[in-house]
Amino acid sequence: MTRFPARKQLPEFSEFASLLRMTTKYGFPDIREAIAEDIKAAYPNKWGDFETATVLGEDVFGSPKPHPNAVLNLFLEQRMKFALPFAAYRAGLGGPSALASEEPDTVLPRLTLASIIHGMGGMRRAMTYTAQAVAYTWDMGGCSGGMCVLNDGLMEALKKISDVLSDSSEGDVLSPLRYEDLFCVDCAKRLRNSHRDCRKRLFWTRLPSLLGWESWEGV
Amino acid sequence: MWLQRNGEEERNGVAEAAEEREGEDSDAATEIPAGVETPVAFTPTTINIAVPSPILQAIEISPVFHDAETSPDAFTDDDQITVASSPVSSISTVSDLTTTEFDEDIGEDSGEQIPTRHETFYLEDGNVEIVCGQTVFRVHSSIVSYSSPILRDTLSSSTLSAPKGSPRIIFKDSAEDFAVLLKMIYTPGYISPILNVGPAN
Repeated sequence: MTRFPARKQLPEFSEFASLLRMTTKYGFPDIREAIAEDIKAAYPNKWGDFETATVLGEDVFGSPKPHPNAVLNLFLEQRMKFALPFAAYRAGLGGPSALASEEPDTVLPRLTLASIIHGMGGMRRAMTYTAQAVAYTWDMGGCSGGMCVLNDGLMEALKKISDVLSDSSEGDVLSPLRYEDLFCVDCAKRLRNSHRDCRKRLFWTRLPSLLGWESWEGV
Repeated sequence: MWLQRNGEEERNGVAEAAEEREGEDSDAATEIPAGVETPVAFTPTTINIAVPSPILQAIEISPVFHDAETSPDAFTDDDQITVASSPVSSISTVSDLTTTEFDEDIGEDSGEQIPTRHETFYLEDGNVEIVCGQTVFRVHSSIVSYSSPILRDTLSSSTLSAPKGSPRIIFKDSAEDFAVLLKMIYTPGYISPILNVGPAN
């Protein structure tokens, strides 16, 4: 008989899913709680946990990486409510074609699918609007850096600032940007802080309601 | 186990290569009239089943102990043999069938598959067989029961209901899921390495 070797790597999603199902069904509350904590690390429900997380979403699982829809379906099935908004957000990052996947285990409930498509669209529109607002209210004075976009002239600077904000990581409105590509160190720091508040207030706080759930407290 | 008529094994075109059973419990033999059409009723120790003729010719039928919720009315499909409440689907005795040979013999002709032994968790010294889909596990009831009150209740009731031999229990779980559960139960230190997936990693 073969024995399973001790594991030093993250589990594959299929194994993780089996473990969650079986420990729930057959009454292993301690292990289920440990699983929930690990899920919470990768699918946070608090802004502080999100900011400090070193691995997020399906990247936490070993290869092959699961489809985000499969993860969301597992959380729906196992009632991991705290993880649903962020799992839905991760699924939404794949765009409409990935969301509407018909592969086994990736077919989302219709209502969930509609909520995510609607919510992601709303977030992208809000991001564009917010980028313009941040750009046009930016304090342009006082930059002495030689390699800062703010030295390119007012209109050029506004356009670049707006572009870098609205094109954030293919729609990932929650993640920070590489401000250093455009700004000097001082200006990058100021913009990062401003953008951080924007991400937290406009997107993270509203994430559950945008994607079909009531609030973070509600889940 | 093969269908028996007058104490002799019934062999047909798709079963010619099957080995004779060893340690066959004569009480377990179920007599099936020749040429019978579905549905077929078995008495007194078996449940009533409805099985199409091609399957009758090919599969074995073990003596099945009644699950309280199992009744002939539950069988609506021709090929449905066992129906019961979760997590157990049915309970029977463990036979010494040679699953590999059955697979080879009847797999293509009948379209039906006999459960195959799980490569890791068919433990020869186990005392209970658990069937999930097309996979059969053989485990130690004491070890599995110790880990979970739910499994303990399930296994103890099924063990008590078995008149002789080891019980065979059909679970509704997938074989993949149940193998992971057994891996967790039987492998010391399995959990802690795989669940350390937080920010520290």
